[in-house]
Amino acid sequence: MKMKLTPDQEKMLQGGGRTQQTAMAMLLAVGRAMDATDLIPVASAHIVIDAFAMGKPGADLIVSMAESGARFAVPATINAISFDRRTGPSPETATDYDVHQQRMLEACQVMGAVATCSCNPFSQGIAPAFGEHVAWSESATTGYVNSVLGARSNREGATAIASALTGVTPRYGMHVPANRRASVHFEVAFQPRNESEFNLLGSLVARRSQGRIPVISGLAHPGADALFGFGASFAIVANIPMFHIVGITPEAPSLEDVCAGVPPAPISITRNDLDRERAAYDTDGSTGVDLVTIGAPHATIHQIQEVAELLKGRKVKPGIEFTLTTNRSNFALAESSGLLSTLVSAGVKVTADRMCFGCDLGARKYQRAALLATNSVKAALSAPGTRGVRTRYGTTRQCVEAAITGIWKGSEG
Amino acid sequence: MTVRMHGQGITEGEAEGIALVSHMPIAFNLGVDERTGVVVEKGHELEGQSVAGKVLVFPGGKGSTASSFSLLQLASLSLGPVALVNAQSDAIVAAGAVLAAIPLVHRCSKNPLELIKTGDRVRVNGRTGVVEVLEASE
Repeated sequence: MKMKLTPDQEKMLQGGGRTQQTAMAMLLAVGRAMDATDLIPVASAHIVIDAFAMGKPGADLIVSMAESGARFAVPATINAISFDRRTGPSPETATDYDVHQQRMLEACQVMGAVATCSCNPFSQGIAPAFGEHVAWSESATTGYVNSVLGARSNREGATAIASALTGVTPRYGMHVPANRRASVHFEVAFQPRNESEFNLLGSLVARRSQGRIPVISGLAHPGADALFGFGASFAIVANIPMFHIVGITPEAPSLEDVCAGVPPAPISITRNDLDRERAAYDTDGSTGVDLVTIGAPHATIHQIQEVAELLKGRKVKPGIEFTLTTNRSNFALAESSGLLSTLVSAGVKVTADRMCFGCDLGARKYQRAALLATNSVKAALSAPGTRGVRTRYGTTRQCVEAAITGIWKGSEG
Repeated sequence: MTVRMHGQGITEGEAEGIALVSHMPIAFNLGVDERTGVVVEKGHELEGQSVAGKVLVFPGGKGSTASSFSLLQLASLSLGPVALVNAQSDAIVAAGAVLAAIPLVHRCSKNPLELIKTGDRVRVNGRTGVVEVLEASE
């Protein structure tokens, strides 16, 4: 089946510059593979420029696009990068990657991107509207865009850049309303007590959905930060583009609305199930903590505030490395509101822009298997492989207490 | 008897090479070492084998959306596959095939995962969608 192109799209393919032709070729190949009928306009693009995954060839490509004079056709934002722009590449982790990272970031800015440098652009006030078609890469953002905001995006990779350059995307997957329905139903028999439990629930639901879009019932509204955490954990465990929560996410006013036809029989999720899920991330029995990390994905200002309040007047135990990762927007808010000085004087290393602990493939591995405490499913899942650590998983409070005392206490929220 | 099948061409180009068949999906990002072309995913059917210069036959991609760029990285070091044959392709492999300029065919009239064997000499035409075994490995 041949896709229908408008005269403008045909012009980009035939007469546009080399960059536009490459971008259109990518979108058409994807469209053919996925049975798209045509290309539809997108309102924005969120672009991952992961220097580790893209390497010099990826950086050369992006730079050549900017040098060819190509410019983004729609508003574009940038995901987290390999270093903090305030301090520049760290000598400790400096590699060629940082050089390529810098080149790609600059090239994207030349093409018109806003250097948000965050895996949580929502916390920077950047959020597509309900029903908007967009091309957002980074799995955690795509889940939130579809599920919580009700905008439409597929899981994009290199194609987010192609859509930014052309302003269009193939009509398939999440852009087709019928594909957004739920086909598996989970009923949660308890209320998660904190964000860390919502993260676990996201992981559990993703694991049990077996590739299908789930709808979850029985939950009270947990707030935006918990929904974002749920979605980030959900996305790292399974490549499912969205989820629904009855009465909470916008396309699920009721079970009947969100399921195509009669809702499937509910699968119950109990507190015992959640405790078992916790055990998948809280994998180490030892209690002498070496590292603590919070903010994977990038911490919101409320999450930063929570850490600051727990730390007030106390200090991180010498020898313990406590990192908090966030974006520039929330870093600035933390600074102006006095939260940053509380954190820094307590001994927390706060970074902006930079990828979260565990996602940073180029960073050094710990020599002996250091013990990491975190409230992030994403960090707990990726850091053992990328940073060579063992993990304890728990609440923000448990993590902060572990940073102060050096001892991990209990696994209950 | 020569094996010949018709599929849907996703990216253009014509290539000939020795087949490497995987019945498991492939994650090019983190699953394949982009500096050597060797599959490094633990427990993968192709673990330890190189995709360089091969006609890579596999169900489809999996894992990170960064895999499109992994194909570009492999191709820039001449360590990429020369052609891709998928059961059902996906956005990440399709976009990567464009960036790496590798012909890609999917949805063949016969099951390539069964009829093509590792070691067969295979020709892939990404424009017409024709995939044919020129010489069987045994």
